[in-house]
This record gives sequence, C-alpha cells and structure tokens, in this order.
Amino acid sequence: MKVQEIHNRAIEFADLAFMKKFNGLVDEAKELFLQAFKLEREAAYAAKEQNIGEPTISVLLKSAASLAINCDNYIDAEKLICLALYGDPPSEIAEELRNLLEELYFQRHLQFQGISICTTELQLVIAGRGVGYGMAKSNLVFDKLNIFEKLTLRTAERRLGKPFRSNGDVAKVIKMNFQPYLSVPRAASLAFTIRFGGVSQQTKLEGFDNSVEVIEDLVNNISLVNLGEYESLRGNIKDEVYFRNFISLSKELAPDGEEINLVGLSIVRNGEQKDVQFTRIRSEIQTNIFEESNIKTNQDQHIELIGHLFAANEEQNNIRLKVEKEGNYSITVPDGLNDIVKKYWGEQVRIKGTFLKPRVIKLSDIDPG
Amino acid sequence: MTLDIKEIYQGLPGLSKVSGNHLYESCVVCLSRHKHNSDGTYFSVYGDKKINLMLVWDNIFDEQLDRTWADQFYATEHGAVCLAILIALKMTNYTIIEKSARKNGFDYWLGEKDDILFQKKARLEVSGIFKGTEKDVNKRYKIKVIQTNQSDLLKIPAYIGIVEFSNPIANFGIKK
Repeated sequence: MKVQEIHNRAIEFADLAFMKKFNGLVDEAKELFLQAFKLEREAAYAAKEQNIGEPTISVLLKSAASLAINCDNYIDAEKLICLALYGDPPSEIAEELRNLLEELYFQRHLQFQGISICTTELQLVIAGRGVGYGMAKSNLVFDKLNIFEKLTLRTAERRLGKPFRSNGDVAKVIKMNFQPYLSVPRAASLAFTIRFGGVSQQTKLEGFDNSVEVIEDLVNNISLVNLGEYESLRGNIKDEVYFRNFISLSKELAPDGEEINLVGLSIVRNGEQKDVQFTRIRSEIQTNIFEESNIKTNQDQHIELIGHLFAANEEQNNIRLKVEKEGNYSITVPDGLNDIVKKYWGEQVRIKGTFLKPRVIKLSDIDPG
Repeated sequence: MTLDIKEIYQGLPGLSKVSGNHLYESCVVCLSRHKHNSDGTYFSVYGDKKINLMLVWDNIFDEQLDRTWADQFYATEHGAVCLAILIALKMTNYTIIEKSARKNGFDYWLGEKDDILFQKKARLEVSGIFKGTEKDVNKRYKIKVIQTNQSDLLKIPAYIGIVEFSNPIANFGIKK
C-alpha cells in the first residue's frame, strides 16, 4: 500500500477516535487511537524508507507520536519524536516536536518516584521554560503556591457551608485544619508534596476532618476547568460567587503557555494514583461564562483597558485604575473576583469589563498588563 | 456570494464526512449561540483579499447539540477551522485538505491533488474568537504570525485564519 493510503486509513481511525473521546467514550477512543497509531507509524517508516523527503517524514512521525500519546504508549512516542528530530525537520516542525517531548516528560515527572503520599496529601508539579530540573524562578513558584492555598481554603469554606467571605480573614479554625504545608521541592521538573492541616497527621476537630474530600473536590473541579466542562463544574459548585471565584483562581493557577506549560496535580485514592494534567493555558479559560447576559449586552458597553492598579476600597469592593493619557477609572469588583484583584495590587494590568456609567466599570477579567 | 457551511461535509476533498460533520456542528453552535440567521448571515472576510459572503446553514441547533458542545472554547476553535477551510478553498488555488494528528486534534494542510503527502503544501493555522472586535481579530492574527515566525530558511508556507463569531468576520492571509 502507498504511504498516502496508509496515512489516510490512519487519519480515518484518528477521526473516529477523537469523536469517541469528545463523546466521553475513553476506552473505545483508546482502541481506535492504537489502530491509528500503528498505521501512522507504518506510513512514517515507509516514507523514511522510500526517502520521500521533508516535511513529509517528520510530519508523519510527529503525527504517529501524537497518536501514541493518545493511547498511552509513551515509550513509542518518545522514540518517534527522537527519530523525527534526528532527521532534518523544518524548524516549525522541530519546535513542535520538542514541545511534544516536553509534554511527554511531564508524564514521567508526575510519577511519585519513590515518594509516597497519603490521602490528605497532594503532589503539585510545575514545568515549562521558567522551570529547570529542580530549579525554578521564585516568583513563578510562590505565585502558584499562593493561588493553590487560596483555592484550598475557599474549597474548604464552601464545603463547610460557609457563605462566601467577601472580606476579612479566613476563620482561624478553618486555617488550622486546612492550611497547606509544603515539603522540600523535588527535581521533577519541580514537585512538592502538599499536606493539608498540619505538619503531622494530627487529630482533627469534629466537623473539620474532611480534608480528604476537600482535596478530591479541588482536584476534580480543576480537572473540569481543564476539560472546559463548566456545566459539570456548575453542578459541583452551585453557589454563583464560589463558582466565579473558583474559575478565576483556576485561571491564575493555569499555565501561561510561556514560562509554565504544565501544572500537574496527583493524589492517591484506593491505592491508585490519580493525575490531573492542567494544560489549558490561562488565555483559554473563559471568564465570561458567568455573564450569560453578555451576549445581549451592547458591544459599546464592553471595554478593555491597560493601566496601573493603585487604590482600593475593600468595603465597597472598588479599585482604581490609572490609564496613561486617559486618567482614572473606578472599577467595581464583583464578589468572587477579589482574591484575584489583590494579586495585581500596584501592578500594570489589562482589565475587561462593562461600563456601569462613564468611568465606572464592572470587572469581568483581569490579566497582567 | 453565498457560502453554504454544509459544503464542509458534502464532498470536500481530503476531509471525511465524519470529520466534516463535527466541524459543521461546532460552527453552527457558535453562530446559533449568537442568534445569527441560518437563512443568511453576513460574513466579511478581509486580509489578503476582501470578500463579503452570505453564510447559510441548516438550522440543526437544539438543546442536545447545545449540551454536546458545552465547551465553548472547543466549539469556537473547531467552528473557526470549519470556516477557515471553506475560505481557504474559495480564496486560494489549493484544492484539497490534508490532516496530521496532534495531541488534541489535527493540523490542517492545504494542497494540490497530485502532490506528495505534505509536500508543496501550506499549513492552515486557525484561531477562533467567540465574541470580540475587529481589533481582537487583528491582534490575534499578529500573535499567530509572531508565534510561527521562524528564522530558518526551511519555512513551510502558512495561511492564517482568525474567525470571529459575534459579528462574523475573518482575517485571512498568507504569513509573509
């Protein structure tokens, strides 16, 4: 059979596999991915043997490696990527191959590698250009850990039935029982064990013994954000303010696609490791889903501004933005977004929102400027 | 000029009906969520050439389709691929679509029927915006150009298509 024909058959199987995956039929999808992978690898090897030339060979090898990853065949994927890089791929394809290899190695970093964690612990792994093997830019690490702590404490408060706390500190008893504690970092790209509620497995106060459920809830909901399954997430977090807060904090935890490509979370349940690879980059996380009326809103009412965040009135949930050559704007921060705004205090930011009146904007999204 | 979105699965060379239907559904979902008219919605394409199209499609949007395509980001990206492929075949001399797998889907290539697989082909790089402005579209276009700009001489030609759905427009052109 010709290379083209084998490739076409591989793509037919891949089409069906992605369809099954889209419909949540994971096992059936993997079977089809396996068949697609075998055919695409055959096409790639045939193209190489017949010396068809570039970019055909590297594109087919990359395609076969991607299909191998989709059926969890990481060893073959690694071999195919290396084989493609060993050839003479065009620079664009070479760059994509390196990115794929990086993702593949992240899988390996997620393994505990001799470390055992218990049900009240979680492994957090970050990887990307800003993270070397066992070393990372300090601000990247502190930022992710800080956001992770906020997510944990908000999840604990929600699960304990507390109304959303718009201002003030976390209750002492909650902090005592759910405060994350950090292990020494491990080189993997950079991994931490995070334990909830204490430096040792201490006895919990009555009603506060559910840190296992809090961790599981947190990891499951982050997985839903990663998959873009906001309706399921809304089912898990019924309170609109907590829902908005969770999405906006998850967006801050998400990789930026530049310095951090991957954030991994691993827990152990019933003796088995459960991983969530948070790969959806922050710009792909929708913050407008909790503003359904947006679609009906007049386009002119939407605004995007870059400016300096300089003053805040916590009681009124209000901040000020200084925009060069335009002056100051008053920004109203809806409940749930205040955790994020604090992070950008005194910094250059890009905000999105809608005009409530001239120079008064209701915030819907905030990013570094 | 009318652009019937159904063309995507009614005989596009190089694209299976299964795959074409998936892209068609995502595009219909994006347009329908903005309440656009399936009997005719203006679609302005600019960039290398300016062309005004009238989009038509079968009104298949219902609750089930809405639930199936709950992930708006995924729907937007696929819907954009659908329109970008149709634009590419209308506005370039390429006649077929080829696909290679990537981790979460496919890369799309434009080519001639009798060329060798992926050779003398152009990459089609697409991005979608569910709700934005022309400024957002142009900004995304520039980002795509920078992202794919390589200093190497072995460049693969690429067409870039950025599609916006709220007031349907597309910036479509070859990467220079």
